[in-house]
Amino acid sequence: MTSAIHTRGDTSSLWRSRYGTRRAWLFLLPPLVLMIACVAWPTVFLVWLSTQKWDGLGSMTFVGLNNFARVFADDRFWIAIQNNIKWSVASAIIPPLIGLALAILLSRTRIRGRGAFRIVYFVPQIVASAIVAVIWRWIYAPEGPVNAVLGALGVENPPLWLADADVALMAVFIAYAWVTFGFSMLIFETAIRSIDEELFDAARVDGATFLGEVRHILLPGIRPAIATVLIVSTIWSFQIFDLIYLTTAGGPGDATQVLSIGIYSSMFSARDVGRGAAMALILLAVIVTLASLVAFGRSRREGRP
Amino acid sequence: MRRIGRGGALARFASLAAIALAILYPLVILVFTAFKTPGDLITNPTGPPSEWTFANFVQAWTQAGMATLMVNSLIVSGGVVVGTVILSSLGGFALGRLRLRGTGVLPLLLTIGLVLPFEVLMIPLFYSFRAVGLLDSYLSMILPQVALGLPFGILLLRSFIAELPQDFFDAAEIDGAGLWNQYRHVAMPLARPALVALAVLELIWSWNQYLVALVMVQDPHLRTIPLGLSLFVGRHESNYTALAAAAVIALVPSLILYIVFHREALRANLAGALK
Repeated sequence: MTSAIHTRGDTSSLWRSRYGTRRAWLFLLPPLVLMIACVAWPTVFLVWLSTQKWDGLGSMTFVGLNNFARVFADDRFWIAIQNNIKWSVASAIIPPLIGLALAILLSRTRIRGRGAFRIVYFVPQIVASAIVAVIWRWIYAPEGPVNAVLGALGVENPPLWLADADVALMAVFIAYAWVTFGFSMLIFETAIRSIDEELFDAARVDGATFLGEVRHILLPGIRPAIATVLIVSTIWSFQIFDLIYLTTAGGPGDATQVLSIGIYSSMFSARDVGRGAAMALILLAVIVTLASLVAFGRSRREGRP
Repeated sequence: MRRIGRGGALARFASLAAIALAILYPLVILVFTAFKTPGDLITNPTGPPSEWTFANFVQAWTQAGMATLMVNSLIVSGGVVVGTVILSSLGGFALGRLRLRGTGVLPLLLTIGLVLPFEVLMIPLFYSFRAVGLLDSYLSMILPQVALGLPFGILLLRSFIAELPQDFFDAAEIDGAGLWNQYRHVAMPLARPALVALAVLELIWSWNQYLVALVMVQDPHLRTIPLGLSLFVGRHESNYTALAAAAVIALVPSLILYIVFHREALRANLAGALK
């Protein structure tokens, strides 16, 4: 190919190859420059920083892979990884299940105005983490609503929730599930509505039960949507920062410690930039691995005739 | 498939409404708390206020500096939305319409960029912006968000523009329209649905964005709503009524935006499922 522009084999290719060659780059240049400055360069710089001992102010010292060795030898890192894994497994199960139940309910209930219910059910998804944190810190407060109800039910010594190392992670996760189920609901509902109604009618003629219809028609019919939701939920969940930082800040002790909080506190509290950079690269590796599994799965699916 | 709820329409409506109430209940508690006196809150943590007071809102509005926070959030989110939409449309047009040599690898790189969160890049971004003296500025909050939003925006616009009928562009070409005019007067009007979806999605994301402001900004005059709210929380640890009032004030703009743009927001979240 001699022209710099490949067209779609239409009549205008000649014109475009002469006219658009250099101009076309002018369209790509502005976004490309910004992404190089704020994404590509920082990624390279991150790799460099992960090999340095640096307090953020003085001079840097090259330490090779020592930062990684320190991270891997650190118990807190492994606590964070465990919490991240628990969090992600829960994120791939609980909000999607709530979303699926609501999606089935919304799409199979014949009632006027159900579109309005979908809009209402989605509201938590648009509430900022900073606000969500205020809400749930009060809900879980020692004198707050949850313990007031438990007290009224006669429960003595109810847990301190966010201040209790045994349940804090679960307590924050409940708030997270409240925010995120709307996304799964939306994807599932759209998928369910694209299933051919005749399949359900045929099943009913065959005497299928409600659960039978869900199992044999509905779930197989939304398989791509299930894959999308699981993947997106997992990738998102690994980046969790705001909600945990604003409710427990990783505590009590290290009970809700996660990678992103470790990165942040390495930089700002511990002044140990190299360590933070090493942890950020580990987080990057996890996310890119998850995403490539997805891309691999998707290309295999699409490759099938 | 059987319809759920064989009872009357009223029973079906009642069950959907009950679920709606359960989902909204945490927000209802927040609003109740915001209108209570601290004494009322202790004796009555769950129900509506025994007497409604506005004192919390006055305290929150003045002490949290809500007016400044709102202006800053508007500037930052406005910048992020405008920047992302314009740059994504340029890149999407280039990749969707013009097959440039040497750009074959770009979609793959952009796909990797899709999943890159600010959490990973906060350390190098902080020190890079410090090195060029851009910390504590609106740009230090806008540029990283735009850059991290571009992979999604460009890929979205690219696939949308690539599917537009070739005839429109041919016709414009015969009329003597150059690339810029094809972009401006053919691609952009036709890509409007994708542009709106991108704008709404970016608006929700950037309006709620907390970590970028936390890392990039120390100056109290530049704080956005999420950052200002969280710092107000830090200063008033267990003054729940004042905190709730501040949170309600912070929530109102999001709710208004959602009420106005709910259709676009739901559609955009579907389009954003890839991100």
